[in-house]
Amino acid sequence: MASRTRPIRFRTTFRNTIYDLFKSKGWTETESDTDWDVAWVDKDWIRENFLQQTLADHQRINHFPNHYELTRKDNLIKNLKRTQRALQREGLVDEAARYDFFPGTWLLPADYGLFVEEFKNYPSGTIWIMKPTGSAQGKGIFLFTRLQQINDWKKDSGWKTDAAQAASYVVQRYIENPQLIGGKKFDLRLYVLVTSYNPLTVYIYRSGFARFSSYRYNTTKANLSDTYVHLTNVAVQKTGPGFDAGAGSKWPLRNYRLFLVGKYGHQATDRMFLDVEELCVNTLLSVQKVMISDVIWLIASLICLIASLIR
Amino acid sequence: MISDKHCFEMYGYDILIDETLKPWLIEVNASPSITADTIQDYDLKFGLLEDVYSVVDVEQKLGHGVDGRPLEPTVGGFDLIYHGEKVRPDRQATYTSKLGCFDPADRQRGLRKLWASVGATGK
Repeated sequence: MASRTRPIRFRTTFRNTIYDLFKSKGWTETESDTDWDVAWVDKDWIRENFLQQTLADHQRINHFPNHYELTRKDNLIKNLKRTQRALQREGLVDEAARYDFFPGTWLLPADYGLFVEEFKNYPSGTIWIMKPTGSAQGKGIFLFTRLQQINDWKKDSGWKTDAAQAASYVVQRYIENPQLIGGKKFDLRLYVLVTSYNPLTVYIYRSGFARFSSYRYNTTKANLSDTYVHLTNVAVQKTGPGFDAGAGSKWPLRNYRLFLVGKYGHQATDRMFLDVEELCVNTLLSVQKVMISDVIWLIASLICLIASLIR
Repeated sequence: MISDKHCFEMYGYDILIDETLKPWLIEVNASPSITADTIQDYDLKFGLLEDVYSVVDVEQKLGHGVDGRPLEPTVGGFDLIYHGEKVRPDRQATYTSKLGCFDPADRQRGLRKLWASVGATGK
């Protein structure tokens, strides 16, 4: 690789932390769609702009084209289930059991029949959670205990049980026994960096957050519709009554680790964090093949070629 | 197009811990928020992104083994945990998982040492 005689050129439409970082490194901004060394782009940009481009060796961009295999809830579940089934078929019982880190999940409307069958096997009062597949930040999520409650919703939303249409919701057994700290529910936000899917190369960041609900946790019936109690997303919490951004709704991961060590000791704490690391890696392994598949690019290029010939 | 050489991705994992300390995957986000609402949050996210680019190594300062494995298992706050197979944790380390062991002073020291060892200056 030729040694650089000019500063690195970056392309980004963001004007926040990432822009500050690039500036602080002395890199120069470019608005060119093609002529850049480093691009930090929105995840949709890559699919719109990447198809016809050939990138030079040195160019680096912050998304993989197939990221939705991991980030769309329906795709993620399909990939996890497929991997678990494949391991079971090969008789790798222990390895398959290591994928037991997501609760029972079905795609709706396609798997509605399967879900209803399974629903009957759970004790009454079991709590279920419905999540739209494409949205984030807790939008459109609700909890229920009776099938009747989604029948009503089905009618209201004009949902057709047409197996051919894409999954619009996932329904999942709700985890009813979350660890609570000070009576509050929380989740962990961790940062994982993948620099290659072939071979899979994964880094995990030592820091992160525990993000707390502002409200005391309980699962009484009256409370199920109160998403502020059940969802820890910052976007949800921010809109809640009496939300106070300064009231410790977020802990650095370090505080959470110290809390665990104090309560359970070093060994149990370390075991738990190793399980978390393994969960992160196993999730990525389940999408590895679809991430490196270039078949869709071939098809997309052919479509572009045909379209240009017709024109 | 071979995406792998050019692409990297930083994911935000959302994980729930139950009362038996079992982790459950909630979701994976390919565009975790990098905006900050407090100074502490800004420092963490700025450092996080700085470390992303240190790992990605646009200027190709960091070395790789014959199998392509990065020679540096720790870059800033990032620890390499997988490269074609599990990366064995350092036997000397007190903890086998470094999650939750972030220390800004440690990070700075580590980065200074790292860049000094590859003969680069700062950043």
